[in-house]
Order: sequence, then structure tokens, then C-alpha cells
Amino acid sequence: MNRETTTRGDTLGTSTISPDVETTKSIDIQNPWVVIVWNDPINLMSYVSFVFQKLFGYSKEKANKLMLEVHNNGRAVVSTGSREKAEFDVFLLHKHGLWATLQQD
Amino acid sequence: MVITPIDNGLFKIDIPDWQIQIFHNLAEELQAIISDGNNHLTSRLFPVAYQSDTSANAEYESLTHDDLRQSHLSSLKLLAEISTYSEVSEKLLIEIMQGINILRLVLAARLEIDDEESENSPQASEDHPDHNLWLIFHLLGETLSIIIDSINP
Repeated sequence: MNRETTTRGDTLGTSTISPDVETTKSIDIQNPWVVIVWNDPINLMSYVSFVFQKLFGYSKEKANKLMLEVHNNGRAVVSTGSREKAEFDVFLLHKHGLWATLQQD
Repeated sequence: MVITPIDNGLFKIDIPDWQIQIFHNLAEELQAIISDGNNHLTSRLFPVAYQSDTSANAEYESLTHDDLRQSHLSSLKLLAEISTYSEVSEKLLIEIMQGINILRLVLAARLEIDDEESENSPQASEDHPDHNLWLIFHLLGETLSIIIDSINP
């Protein structure tokens, strides 16, 4: 068991749970699933920014920043959370024609 | 196409007949291709969700593929019927926009456009056999921009 993991788990109020469960919970919290949008040469930059605003409720500034990160770096993490949430976000992005994947951070 | 915000959160759509005809024909054609389900041009519409886990991706696809296909077909149906709408809600306008984007993605695959400098594509030449498709690709991009600017000025 990683001591750092246990300590962080304690601070999140899980100290009454058995050590094994506590470790599992801590790992989930520290290694969330991330949704990545990849650059593609077809989708318009304004469209990608608009989709980020509509799907995730991001401000125009934040959406533009993420869009530019996708454009300049080839990819950007646009949301994080449980695996179920990440899969749902990827599905919504696919519905809008964006190239998105999920992976554990 | 001109889109004007009006009262009650609705948008008025003015679209010339020749554009209606193009959207209708392309949307119907793509609906048939997606329904047929076996065309490499539509692979871009069904991306992988897990890049390095084929098993997880197969499970994801089994859960979502039909819903995703239905969503694409529904957006294209709205686009094909755009002449029947003179006023639309923002939600409907976004669905129409999705249909236009889907068409644009598939047209890009058909034209093999794979960089952002499509002005340098061979189809830009007026005597290229795909020149008209290339023009439509740009029309779709312009239409997308108009819709986005209308909703999100």
C-alpha cells in the first residue's frame, strides 16, 4: 500500500473504511478518467469551441482556450470524472462529430 | 442562408431554394449510406472511444453504436426537411447544425481532404471533376459559421 495514498484517503474522510477499500477509493480519486479531444483538420475551430460551451457549460474563454490547445498541441483533456461520466461525455462529443477518446489518467 | 434571432428564443431561417435542394439531396444520400452501414466514408462518424483497449472499445460500441447512428440519422432528417421550418428553436437549430457538420465530415473523407489548407487541394481547380463537391464542402463550412454566429454571437 502506498503511504501517500492512504494519507490522502484519510483526508477525504474514508479513514473508517477498511484499508483495502480505502486504497481502492483513493486510487479512483487520484486517477480519474479523462476525456481527450484530438485535433482533426476538418472541424471548424469555432464549431469545436461552440460544442465545448454547449456540452460542458464552459465559458467562451475556457472553450476557446481548450480549442486552441487541441489545435496547437494535437489534443486536450476536456473533462474528467468516473468512467461512466467519461464514456457519456465521449458519446456526446461523437454525436457532434468530434474525435474524442477516454483513458485513465 | 440568413438566420435571425426573433422573440421567444426562436430563430428565423431564410434559405435560398438552391441551398435547400443541395442540403436535401446530400442529407438523403447520406441517410441511405449510414442506414446501409457498410461504407468507409462514414467511419469518421463512428470514432473509437478507447484507443488502446480493443475489448473495452468493442463493449463501448455495442452499447452506443445504435444510438449514435440514430442521432446522425435524426440530424440528417431534420436537414433534409429544412424547407419545412421557417422558425426553429435553438435546440432544433443545433441539431440541424450537427447534420451539416456530419455532411461536411463525410464530404471531406470523399474529397480526401486531410489538412487545414483545403484551398491547396487539387479540387480547387475549376476543371477538376470534384470541383463542385469542393464548393459544397466550403458552402457547408460557411453555413456552420453562420449558425454558430447566430446562436453564439
